[in-house]
Amino acid sequence: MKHIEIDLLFVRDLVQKGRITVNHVHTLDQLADLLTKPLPRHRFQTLRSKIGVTDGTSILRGHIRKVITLPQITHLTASTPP
Amino acid sequence: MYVDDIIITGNVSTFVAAIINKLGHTFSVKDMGHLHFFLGIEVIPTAKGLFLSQHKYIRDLLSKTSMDMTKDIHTPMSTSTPLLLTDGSAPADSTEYRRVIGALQYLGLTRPDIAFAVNQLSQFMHKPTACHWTAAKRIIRYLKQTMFPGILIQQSSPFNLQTFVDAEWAANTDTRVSTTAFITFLGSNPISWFARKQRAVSRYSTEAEFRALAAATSETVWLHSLITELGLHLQNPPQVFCDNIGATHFSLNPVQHSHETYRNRPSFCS
Repeated sequence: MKHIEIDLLFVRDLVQKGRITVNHVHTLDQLADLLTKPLPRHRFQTLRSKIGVTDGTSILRGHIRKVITLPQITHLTASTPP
Repeated sequence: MYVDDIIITGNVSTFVAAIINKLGHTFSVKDMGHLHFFLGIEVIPTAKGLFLSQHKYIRDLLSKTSMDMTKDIHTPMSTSTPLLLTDGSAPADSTEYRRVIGALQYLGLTRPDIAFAVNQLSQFMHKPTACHWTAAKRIIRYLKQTMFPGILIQQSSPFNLQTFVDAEWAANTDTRVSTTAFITFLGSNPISWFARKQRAVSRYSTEAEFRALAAATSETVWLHSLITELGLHLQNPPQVFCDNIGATHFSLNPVQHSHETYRNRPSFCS
């Protein structure tokens, strides 16, 4: 069996089992476009913000650095005995 | 001695404390308190969620790489100069090139916007030229101007998994190998992305699209199983989005698919 057929059966099988859905998206809304080719400035900047890359200038300056009650996240350094 | 960094999180602080206590029975453990820095990534709690940034890492990279930073750069990669394995320019210092590309790859943890450019340049690690070096410096210039973007992991977003997948057929000018690219979001948060050349040459753009779709589907299903294993449930089955109409059509319509395969078969045997 050719690779393309295996790829096809793999995806189709999951679709038929309801494990995933495959949907069409307009080329302009294709967020993965940023990861496939070099883009001109405007398109690049639009997609960059759409994929969740957020400007942290104000956050990093500490202006809105309000510590709020988040679930506790603890950083541990664990080491095994030598 | 082997040292490892671990993040522990939970809704109930007594439970988190109990886990740390238990770990302490077996390992020598040091509690670093609330999460601020992990593997070079700064973690900042904000009103909207956790902001992840590698700006200190960028600063370090800039200080180690001396170059003229006067030129304004708004994108990490030129749209007009395709990169070639052999471009006629002089060979570049490959040790320095590898060091810089390695550093840029690590930055990809919070910067999907440079993932494509870095992947392209990493294909010349064995034999970099002056042109490749110029392209690498462009990424660094771009980072200098955009030091503060990062990823904001937001609490309040719909709990679903969406993957956008795309392929660039015969993207590599030297080998005609295509590129697979996809990015997966949990709600509005980007949690996984991928930009890499495919392992074999696709003779048709549809073939490249399918390879990409299968790779993206595989990753999405894996992420879903991980989420399930963590005891969480998605609101809907994961969605995969592609802009290739043919590919979408195939996945939904098996009858149409069998016709297509039959019609195309002679060409696949070439």
